[in-house]
Amino acid sequence: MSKVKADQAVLATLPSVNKKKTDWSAVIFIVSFLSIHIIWFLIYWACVNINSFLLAFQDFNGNFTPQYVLNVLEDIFTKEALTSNLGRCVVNTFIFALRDALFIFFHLGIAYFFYKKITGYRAFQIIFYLPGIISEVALAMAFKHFVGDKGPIVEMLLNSGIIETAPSLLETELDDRGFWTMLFYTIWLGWGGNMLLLGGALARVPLEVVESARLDGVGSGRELVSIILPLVWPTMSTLFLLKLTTMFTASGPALVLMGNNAMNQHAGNIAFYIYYYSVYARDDNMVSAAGLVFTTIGVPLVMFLRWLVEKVPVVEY
Amino acid sequence: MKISRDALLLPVDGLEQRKMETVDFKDVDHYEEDGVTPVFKKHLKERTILTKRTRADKILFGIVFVIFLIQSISLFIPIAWLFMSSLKMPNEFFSVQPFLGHSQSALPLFWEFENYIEIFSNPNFKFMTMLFNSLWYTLTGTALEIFLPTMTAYVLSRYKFFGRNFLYTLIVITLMIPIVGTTGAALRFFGFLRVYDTLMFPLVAGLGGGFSGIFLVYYGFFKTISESYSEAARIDGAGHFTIFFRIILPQAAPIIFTYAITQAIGRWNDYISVLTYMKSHPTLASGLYELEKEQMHSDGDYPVYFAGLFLSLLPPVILFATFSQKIMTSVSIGGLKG
Repeated sequence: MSKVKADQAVLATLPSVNKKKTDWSAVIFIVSFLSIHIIWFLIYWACVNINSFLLAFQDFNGNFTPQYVLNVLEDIFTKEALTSNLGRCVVNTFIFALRDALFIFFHLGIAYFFYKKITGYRAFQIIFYLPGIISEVALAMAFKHFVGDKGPIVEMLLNSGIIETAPSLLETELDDRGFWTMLFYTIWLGWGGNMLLLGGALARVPLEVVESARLDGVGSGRELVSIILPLVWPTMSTLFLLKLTTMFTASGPALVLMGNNAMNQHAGNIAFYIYYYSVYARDDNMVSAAGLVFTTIGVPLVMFLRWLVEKVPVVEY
Repeated sequence: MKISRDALLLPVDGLEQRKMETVDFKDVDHYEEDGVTPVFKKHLKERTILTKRTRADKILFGIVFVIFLIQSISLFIPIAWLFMSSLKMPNEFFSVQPFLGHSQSALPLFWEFENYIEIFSNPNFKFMTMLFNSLWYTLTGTALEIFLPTMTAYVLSRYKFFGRNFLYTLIVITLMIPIVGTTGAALRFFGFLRVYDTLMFPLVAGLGGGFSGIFLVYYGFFKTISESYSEAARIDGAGHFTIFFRIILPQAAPIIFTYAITQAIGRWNDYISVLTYMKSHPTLASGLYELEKEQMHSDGDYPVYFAGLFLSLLPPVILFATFSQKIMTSVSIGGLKG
């Protein structure tokens, strides 16, 4: 018997769910492995989302009203937007989104220097990645007290006469300094973000391309912008879209740096707003109404940006 | 001049630069016959191309090195200050004016290592309870979120059945759509199940892990495993469960392990979910956040509190330090094409 025929004979003895005769052991296996997950998925997903939709159109007593949704729309699309808590949260959310978008390019720059084996790159890789590992609460508390009015930095500045009064960076409600301090904090800690994925993408760049560019006298800047960037663009665009998907759900360190007072310090974003009204103020209707509006805005926005990003031609290699 | 065979087997970063410079390419070619030199040559070529710098590049890399160094030091300063403050006496920490010639930025007058004992023994801090809750929240959640998607991903990637593509598409869509503001409804849902604000929450919520984001990673991985493994096992009489648990799952062990580490670190540090769904059972992360508010209002014992904070950041750091190379390699290799 030829080898092919022998193989076919062996395969014929194998159970398969594709055969006309039902393989009940496979069916039992599939059902036992999937059923609980499908049931849970459908119950949780359907219950929570349908209930959330209904809550958005109800008041505290359960009477149906579009008032909450209208309030949210008014807060973000009228002149009240710049003065309302929600309006400010929307502005902050977009500032954070812009930061994230720029950060991806910044991270590519850092990953490029690691790729080019800058002195001590292995140590820098681990050190920059550490903030992603360390407890955010511990790190934020250390930062909060370190730059706080009773912390060593303010103490030194006061003692040296550079400042005359403590700046209350994370405490004052008078202006936006809490938000900008928080933004600085996230930028300071964020050098290691996306490092692994971008590092992986850079490692796959063909060396011949880099080598030939070098032979043509291309410098580091040109190499990064004209050669590396187009080659790793698929990874960057995916990271960009992933960030965009979590734009409305990532609350950032506002809570841990400023507590529930972050709203009064103009430092909240949409995710913080959702947390604040669900856990602190316990206004489920307001949360659901805001969620409905931002999901309605977010889904087409993500779709549009996905389409836009995919318009950039991909370099095959 | 010849390079030793042992040196050829080492990754190039393990070689000293001096050795690199003494490699004779003629001799390197000589080793190509036994299959060692191509790898070495690749490393050598990579190193040569990636480390070759023009004069302008050297200046640029020098400047960037200094920036990286400053940034690295700056990341350690607040942590070092936290540790230093955790060894102070309360009076010493609170003094706005220099205390007995000391200040906030100075070393402790007396190294109060007892603070690290008090955090465990002082009932006001409830450190042991928080530690237990952290372990419970981390271990149960991680175990479910890591294991359950292996089941769903395996079946959907390897078996053909009616509705498979629909189910897969549905899961991907729900993962990609950024649905916002369902926390209120989720709170009510878990309240209805009687698990809101109980220690059962991570168990029940973890049951939904079958279609979490890791599902897609496993799905892609199981697709890459050759069907011949399963076929050989079937010929030997193995059933579907045996094939999954004894043939497929061990092959996925490295990827499962890597994600278990990163997931456990994430869970250990998670405070928002704990504050939202099980506030009466604080973990170290959420509990230390709440404790800070109490300290602030009562001018409490900050050094002991800082000792607790410092201890809370140790487990993830130790985990990461132990497995950093594995995590970094796995995520880099398993990353995105581009």
